[in-house]
Formats: sequence, C-alpha cells, structure tokens
Amino acid sequence: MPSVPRGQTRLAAVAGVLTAAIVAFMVAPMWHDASQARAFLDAGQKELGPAGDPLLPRTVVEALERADQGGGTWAVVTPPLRESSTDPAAVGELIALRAIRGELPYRPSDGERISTELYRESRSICGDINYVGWLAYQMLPRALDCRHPHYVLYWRVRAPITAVRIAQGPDWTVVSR
Amino acid sequence: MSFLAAVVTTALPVIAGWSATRGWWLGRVLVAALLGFCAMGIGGLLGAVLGNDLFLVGAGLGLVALATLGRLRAVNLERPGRPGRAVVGLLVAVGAVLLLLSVFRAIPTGDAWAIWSLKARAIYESGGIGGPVFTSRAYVFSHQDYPCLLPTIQAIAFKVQGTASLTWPTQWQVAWLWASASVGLVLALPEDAFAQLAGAALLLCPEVLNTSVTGMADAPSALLLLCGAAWLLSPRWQVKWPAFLLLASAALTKNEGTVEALIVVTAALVLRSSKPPRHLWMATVATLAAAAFWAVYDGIRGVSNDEINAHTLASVTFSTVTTRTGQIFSAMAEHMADPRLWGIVVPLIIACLVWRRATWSLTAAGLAALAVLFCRYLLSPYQLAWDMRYSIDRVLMAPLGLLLLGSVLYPMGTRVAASSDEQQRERHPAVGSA
Repeated sequence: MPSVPRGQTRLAAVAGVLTAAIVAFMVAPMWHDASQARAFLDAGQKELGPAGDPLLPRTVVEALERADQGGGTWAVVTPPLRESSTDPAAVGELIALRAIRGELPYRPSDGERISTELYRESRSICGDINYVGWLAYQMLPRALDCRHPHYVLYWRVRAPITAVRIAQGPDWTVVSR
Repeated sequence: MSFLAAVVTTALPVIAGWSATRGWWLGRVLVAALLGFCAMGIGGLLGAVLGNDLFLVGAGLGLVALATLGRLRAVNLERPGRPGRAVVGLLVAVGAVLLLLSVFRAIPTGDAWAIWSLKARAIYESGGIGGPVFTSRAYVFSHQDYPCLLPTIQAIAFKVQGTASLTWPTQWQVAWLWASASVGLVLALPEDAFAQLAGAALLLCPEVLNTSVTGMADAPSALLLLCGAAWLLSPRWQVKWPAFLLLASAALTKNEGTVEALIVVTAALVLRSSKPPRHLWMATVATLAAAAFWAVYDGIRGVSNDEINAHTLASVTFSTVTTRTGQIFSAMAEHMADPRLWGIVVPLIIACLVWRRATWSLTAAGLAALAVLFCRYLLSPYQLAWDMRYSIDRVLMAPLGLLLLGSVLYPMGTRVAASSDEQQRERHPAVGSA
C-alpha cells in the first residue's frame, strides 16, 4: 500500500476540521432564515416588518392613508419601541406631554435617542425610528413631515384633547392639525 | 408578476453578461450574473438620477453596453480543480437554499426598510431620485447621502411587478447576488485547498449569510468590493475590466463601500516598488469617477452625511477619544471572537498572515478600512454602545474580507510583496491589460 506523505495527511486533517467548522457554523444562520421565512409565511406578511409581527395593524395604516388622501403630510407619535413593552402608558404619556409642549428632543433611552438625534433640528413630534421608518415605507407617496404635519397618528399615546379626531381605535388616534 | 420581477431582474443580467464570458459554463452563468448586476445597477442609477422612470431605460442600456463591449474582451473562466469545484458546489447549494427561502421572506430588518427599501419604493413611486425621501429633512433617518445602486435594482423589480407591496423579489435579488459574487470570488483564488476553504469560510460564515439576505446594502457592497479587489490583483484573472465595474459598483452601493474601494485602489497603486501597470490606473479612475459622481449629486441635492460632518467633527474632544477608544476596541474584539459572527474568519486571517505570504496592498487596505471604521465610531453623534450594537457586526465584513484575501490570493509559497505584479506578468504576459 503506497504511503501518504505526512505533510499531506496534516493538510487533509486541517482541511477536514475547517470544512466541519464551516458547515457546523453555517447551519445556524440557515436555520434562522428558514424560521424567519416560516414566520412570514404563517403571518401572511409580504411587505416588510419584524417576522410574524407587523409593527402596526393594517387598519391603523389604512386609517392614516384615508385621512391623508389629498397630498397632505403626516407624522406618527409613538412610545419608544424598546420601552413600550415595559410600561407603555407611562412612557407614552410622558412623550405626548413633551411633544405637545415642544420639549423634544429628549433622551430617556437608546431607541429614543436615535430618533431624537435624527430629528434634532427641533420641534419634531415623530416617535420611535422603527415605527417612523416602517410607516414611511407604507405611506409613500404621501410625505412625512415631523414638524408641521397635516395629519398625525398617535399610537399608544394619548392624543391632545383639543385635536380634531378623524379616526380612532382602542390604542390609536388619527388627528388633523 | 412578482415571479416575473424576480426572474427578469436576475435572468437579464445573466444573458447580457454571457457574451462577456467564455469557458466553464457554471462559472459563466454566475460571473455573467455578477457583471450583469453591476451593469444594470450603474445604468439604472444614472437613469434614476435623471428621473421620469428613466431608471428602466438606464438599466437596459447598461445591460446592452455590457453585452456589446464585454464581447470585445471576454473573460475566460477555466474549470477549477477538484477543491475549487467542491467549494463552488457547496456555495451553489447554499445559494439555492437562500433563493428558495427568499420566496417566503419579506424585508426583515429595521435598517433595511428605513433606509434601502424606502428609497427603492420612492424611486418606484416617483420615477427617480429627487422626491422628498431624498431631499426633505424629515427623511434624514434614511441616510439620504448614501448611494442608491441597490434601491435602484429593487425599484426595477417593483416596476416589473407593478407594486411595492411584495418584497420577496428583492430578497431573491440579494440571494442571487450572494451566490454569484461568492462563486466569482472563489474562482479568483489560487488552486490550493487551503485558499479555497478560507474563501468558503468567509462566504459561509454566519454573519455573511445572515446579513446577505436582510435587504441591507452592507453585504452586497462588501461582496462587490471583495470581488473587485480579487479580480484586480489576482494572477488568475487576466482580463481586468470587470474589476473596474465591480469596484465602481461597490462605491455606488454604500458609503463604506465608496471609502473602501478608494482605499483598495490607492493601496494597490501606492504599495509598489515599480511603476503601476495601466489597469491599476484605470481601476482608480473608475472608482474615483463613481465616488465623485455621487458626491456631486449629493451636493446638488443639498444633503450631507449625518454622522461625519462639520458638526460632529467640532464636537470631538480629547475626552471623547480616550473614553471611546477602549469601548470601540473591545466591541470590535468581542465581535471578531464570537463564532456566531466572525469567530471562524479571524483565526484564519491570523493563521494565513503567519504561514502564508501576504499581498501587502490588500492587507494594508484591510487595516486601513478597519482604521476608518474606528474613526467613524469615534465621531458618531449617537450613543456609542447603541450605534455599535446595531452595526459593528456587519460593517466588519469588508475589512476582514480584505485581510483574508490579502493572504490567500496568491498560491502558497509564491514570493509576493510589492513586486507581485511584475512576477505575475512574467508568468502571464497578458496580465495588466484591461
């Protein structure tokens, strides 16, 4: 039986270990993608959003679209996404108050910091960047305006009492300004 | 119609690129797809700048130009040896799975929908670049200064299907790009098992696979850059014009891609002991032209970078530098050591740098790209921990890829340093021609 040079054996061993490592670590992201695909499929999601969990219900988006049919501008006031799961009411109240008083920017959290930094030109009423970015896609070609919008969606945030309500649901209100 | 959108935007580039390639059929299909993607993207982007739905015309003209001009100096793709075929087979299999999954996937991540898909839909709705999404301060979160090659290609799919309410064709496009760029990159590597496996380790590492199908531009930009750099400097590629196309496309895909493409061509030009050959100058001109085109267009629209600008530069103090330096190094090291992100690639880079001779220009380019990233985080106007948590993993792709390429682009035992091009020309007299 012909003998295999030791160098070649070592090289084959290294190649084998490397291949095994590549394949082993490759499986996790593929599994992740497959699980994500299944979540999208189960939820019937075809546009964009966290898998299986659209950020806002379709009825809310449609209400804002119906309000803003004449080429007006819109904005969305929300609690920060990361904090909304802990104490939405309290955080939402705080933001609404500050938005009304024009006190933004504020910096209670990372998620919020990014949105306020991005809108730091002053008097922006827009909320968490995740909601704003997601809704900006859905609402096109209707233009976003975080300073002087014609229509505002208050999502899990109490709308100002004096605002003209166009549509509302259990935890949202669309108002005209 | 969405099926038509996916097929049209991936099959037409293959048809156009087919005449620009010769040789091994599987390599031809995937390299043709890669070159077609770039030609369609650049043509479409030029059309999108003009507005009036001219991005479709521009994309078509880009493909026609590739089919016509590519024929004049076609790329000959040799059938790789057994290790090369095994790695290509693995990449094609993974690519097929990604394509299959893409049919059931919407755009999954925040940055993808807030930056790239938003612009794609805006181009689709308004017929070009120039509406409020690209100029109004309200949309500043979408990084209005970023180049729009990827959104333009997504917008073409929206136009073909007639709606932006289905996004799986865009997932299909990026999965197809991953497969074609991966095979293009591996075919540029030398015929030794270690180099081929190192290439596969980079392309199949968890972070690359995850990021490639999110709809963000980081992976497309990095893959185009790495292919362009490999094509420019690899002794296996004797026709160099595809490198110009790839580097220009990388520069038009993301801001990081612009800087990194400029770094690659500068390092290739400067780190030599002899007069640079003509193809390096041509690559530099192509990359500079792409970067200058977009910078001028940003200026015309009146948008600037929201992260690095006069305001953020003015706010940097000595204390910012000292407190952030440790944080940045530690976050980078943490991500590089994590096997779920870059933990396979980084030990390989170290091993390659120790045991193989490096192509110093690429190694230097990788280090320079890391230094640029470091400075970008130093100047970031956002809370550093937040900023790094959501971006550091994916932006490491190009610098780490360049470092790995730097040490596997030449066969084991080749005396490679600043004079590599001369040796290469001795062995392959045609190298150096565009």
